[in-house]
This record gives sequence, structure tokens and C-alpha cells, in this order.
Amino acid sequence: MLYKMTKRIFLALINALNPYPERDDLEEEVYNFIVTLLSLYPFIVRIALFVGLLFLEIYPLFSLKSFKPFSFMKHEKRVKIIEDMLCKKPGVRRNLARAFKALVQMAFYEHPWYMKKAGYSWAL
Amino acid sequence: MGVVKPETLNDREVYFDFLIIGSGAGGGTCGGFLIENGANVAIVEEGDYVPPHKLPTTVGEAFLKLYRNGGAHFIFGVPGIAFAEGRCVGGSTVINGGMCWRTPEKTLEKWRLEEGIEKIEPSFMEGYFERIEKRINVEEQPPHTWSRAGIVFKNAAESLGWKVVTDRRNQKGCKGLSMCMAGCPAGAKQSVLHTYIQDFLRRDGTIFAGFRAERIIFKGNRAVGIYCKGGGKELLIRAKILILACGADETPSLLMRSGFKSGSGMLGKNLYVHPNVKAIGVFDEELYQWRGAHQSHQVHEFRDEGILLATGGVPPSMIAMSVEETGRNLGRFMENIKNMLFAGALIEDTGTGVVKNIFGGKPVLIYNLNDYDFYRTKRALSLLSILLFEGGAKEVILPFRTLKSIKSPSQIPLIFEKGIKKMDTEMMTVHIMGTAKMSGDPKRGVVDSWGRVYGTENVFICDASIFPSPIGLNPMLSIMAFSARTAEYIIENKNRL
Repeated sequence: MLYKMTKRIFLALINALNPYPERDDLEEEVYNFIVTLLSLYPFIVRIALFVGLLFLEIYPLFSLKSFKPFSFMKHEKRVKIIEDMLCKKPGVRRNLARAFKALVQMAFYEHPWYMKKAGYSWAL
Repeated sequence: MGVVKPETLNDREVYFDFLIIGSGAGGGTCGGFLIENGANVAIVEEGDYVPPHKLPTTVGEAFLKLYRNGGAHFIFGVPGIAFAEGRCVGGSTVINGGMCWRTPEKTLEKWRLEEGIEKIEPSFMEGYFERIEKRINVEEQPPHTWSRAGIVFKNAAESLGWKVVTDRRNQKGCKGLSMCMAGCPAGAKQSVLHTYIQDFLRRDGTIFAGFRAERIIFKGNRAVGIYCKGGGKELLIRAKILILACGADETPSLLMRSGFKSGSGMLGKNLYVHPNVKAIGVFDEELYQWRGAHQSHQVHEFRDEGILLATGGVPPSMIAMSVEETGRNLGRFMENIKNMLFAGALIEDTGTGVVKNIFGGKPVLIYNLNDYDFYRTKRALSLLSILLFEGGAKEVILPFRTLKSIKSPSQIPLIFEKGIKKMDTEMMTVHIMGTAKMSGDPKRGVVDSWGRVYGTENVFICDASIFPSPIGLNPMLSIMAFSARTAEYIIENKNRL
């Protein structure tokens, strides 16, 4: 159950950060890539990211006064929440959003679809 | 024995005359020099052994296989600094840009005068530099591999009358793929993995890959071996002489968690980080910076001020990780990256930080940028902006949360006038050094003039942690030369150690 919940929040996060919303078919592959990457991170970082995901799930309660969790919100609302966190003064919320952003965006731009588009066909 | 991985380990206890912990610029080179002299040597490496022909073809795969913490490393302080280092056989030489500069003569002279370090005169060091440069094939980056962005950078610097130099890099037949940080899928970069490690294996050296050194076992003033763990297995390696080359974070950490205390109190202190900042020029012209060498030129005009300017061609995924844009805006931004020139500045820092152990011996790096270095950071960004506008940029994107971009040279003074705080600055580094400082005086340093740890008879350090101060240039060649020097000292004195 915990796994399913974490996956749901992560996929919602990936959806919010997707630079190409029309290519939502890439999101599952991006998720799989990130999970593999996370397995290499130190235990403490994985715990911090897990806690961060849970925090993100309930964050709408604080930012939008909404009882709807992050992963159940519409794409536009999720984007607004992430942008709100990124615009905060340096601190936990901003750093957390930046960490999520770096992870997800790196994964998107490592995807063979983009690599080919950018002229990296030699690498595939 | 070749490469021993946890899954192929049969022994629980082994013995070697010389044991090196770490296999990067310091450890790999030291191993190459020792085994050339017929020594019975083993290397222990925490990361995996990836054969040169199996190096990754994407940055994501490289993060997984070659980087510490999957590429997510951090230096705590104001501002926080992103930090990347290798964790594989070959160490950071596998994932760096391959720039090879000799230690500046004025730095060697400073170390000699201030720290009383013997035998580091340029004339003495020259022989080591020459031998290493030959082995790793250091040569000027050939023009056919320069990216269009690199050429624009060079021309702009020349037009301003600034001293610009062509990079000297360890490569053979560079294809200009701009994938140095993935280990060079073309196999052109002559990293330690490709050179000294292969020499080491050809001469029947042993590498324990995938084993982390947990603790050094001391008996009085002598180290008698190390405990290491890997893949759920434990291994005791006994050795006559121990050489630490785990980098400026892990080397002091290992000594500290082994209960060693330096008489000078300098172990883990004196951390220098060469803070880096980036500026991105947006051009009308299509530059495709990643189609060409990662870096082909550096501006050395401001080296006396401790400022080095250079281009930094990196794959799109690394760009996407580091820019402010997000979501659809990032998609639009990335559509234009072919028109962007990514440049950076390296600051030869004057402030220092510390390495401390937490959670049972994991190193944590703490560093606060001082006011003078922050001023020079802004000066470096103003110089980069001048250069990029000279080259034809219509906008320069800056690494400040409170001043994201400027659109003309007349806005450059805003960098100083806008009241930008350190906390609002995005910084990164790939060079850390100084945490086990070399000095001729045991009250000032952790190691003596030859890299031997004061207070021990047979423990040496061969990595950037021995540098008394930053060098203001890419440090790989300096690390290698000092390691070769220590290796020769050990060979010459092995019967007395």
C-alpha cells in the first residue's frame, strides 16, 4: 500500500514537472528510471525524499487550504503548487522542490526520445 | 589476482606489501608507479570496476555507475554548493573534463615558503609532470573538436584583448561528443582507468572493487591493515604500507573514524572547494554547444585575481537540472538551448570549510563562502557577462534568484548594485582539497613533505587533501604528480618504513 501511494505521488509530481505535457506517455518510464537512480542514493537521502513526498501530498492543505491531496489534484493545480514551493525564500520547501525538479527533469532529458530529438542518436 | 568483486571474493584475509585505498588521480597513479617498480600492491575501491569499453553512453547511466551518491552530493553552508565526484575504479578522472594543467610555479613557491615543503621546486616536479603527461597523452585540444560555442567564447575573449588559452587535455582522438562526464563513450579520454589502472592490471596488480574501507587498524604508530566491507562480505587486508587516496572528503573521514587524531588539529579542516558559478549567453546564432569538446578554451587573464573563466559544454539533461525554469516553461527553454552558450567561472577561494563525520562515519562537508570570495564571484560573473555580450549574446542568464538575467552590457553593474545575497546564488563544484594539509611543520600540517601522516610510520596520503591551498586551476595533473612523487619516495625508502 505504501509502495502504491508513493508511486502515485511520484507520478503526480512527474506529471506536474513534465516539460512536454503532450507526451504524458513518457511519465511511467521516467518514474522507472528515477526509482533505479534512487536505489543508489544513501539511505538517509531516500528517507528524506520519502518524507518529502508525503509532505508534498499534504502541502495543498497549507498552500491552497484544500483538503484534496497533491496526487488527486488537476495538472494545473499541481504545477501551481510546485511553482509556489520553488518561489519560496531559501529553506526546506524550496530545497525540496529543487531536489524533485532536478531529479525529474534530468530523467526527462535522459529519455531516448529527447536524446534523439537533440541529435544524440549516436548514444542510443 | 586482477579485479576482485564481492561476488568473486573467496578470502577473508589477505596480505600485500602496499595497499592503496582509492583508485582515482591519486591512488591509480600511485599504484601505476609502485607496480612499475615491481611492488606487491593492491588497490581497494568503493565503486565498481567498469571496463573502458563498457563506459555509459548517457549521463543518467553514468550517474548510476560512476558517481558518488548517484551524482547527488552537497556541501552544506551559505550558499549550499552542489558537488559531484566519481566513485568507480579510476575515480573522478573518469567523469571529469580532462583539463591538465601543471601546478602553477607561484603556488609551488608559496607552499615551499609558507609550509616549508621540501623538493617541490618546479625543476624537481617537472620530471613527474612530463612522465604523466606522456602516459595520459596530454595535448592541446585539436581545433576540429572545438564546438561553435567554444569558438565564439575564444573570439570574444580575444576581441577584448584577454589572455585566452587552448585547453590541454588527456585525450587521444577526441570525437567532440561533450560526454566527458559520462566517462567518454568514444574511449578517447585517457583517464586513470584507461592508463595507470590498465598498466596496473597488466602487471598482475589486484583491485578490490566494490569494497568500502571501514576502518584502519593501528598498532601503536603503525597501521597494520584495514577492515573493509562490500556486498555483505567483510575483508581484512593486511599491509606493510598504507596509502590513502580517497579524496579530500573520504580520506580525513576514514582517518577520523579509525580513531586517528592529528597533532596539528588540522585533519578535516582547511577545506577549499573552488566555488563555480555559471552564466548562460542567449544568442541568435545556433551554437549546439554539445556538438564539440566539453571545453576547449579558458581565459587566464584574471588568474592573478583568482578567477578562471571557461566554457562548459554539458549534455541537455545536466542543463535541465540546473536552470530555474520548470514544467512547460522548461520545455520552451530547452527548445532554445541550441542558441545558448554555457560558460562558468572558477574562484580560487580564500575561505575554508571542514569535513566532519556523522552517522557512524559518513563525511559531511561544511563550507561558508566568505565576503571576499563572494565579491570575486560577482566580479567573475560581470566578466563573463562582458565576454558573452562581446560575443553577440542578446541576454545573459545569471545564477542569482534575485537577478535572473540581464539584457545589455549597461545592466552589468546590477550584479553589484542589486544587493544580491550569498543565499540567492547557485553554486557548484567538482574540486575539493586541503583537508589533510601538507607541511614541513608537524604543528601546521597533517602530512609531511612526502605525504606521510605525522604521528604514523607507514601511512601516506596521495590525493588533493594534501594541498595546503587551492591552486586556481583544474587539479588532476597536480594530484597525479604529487602521487608519483610520493610513490617514488616510498619505493626508495621501503626498507626503512
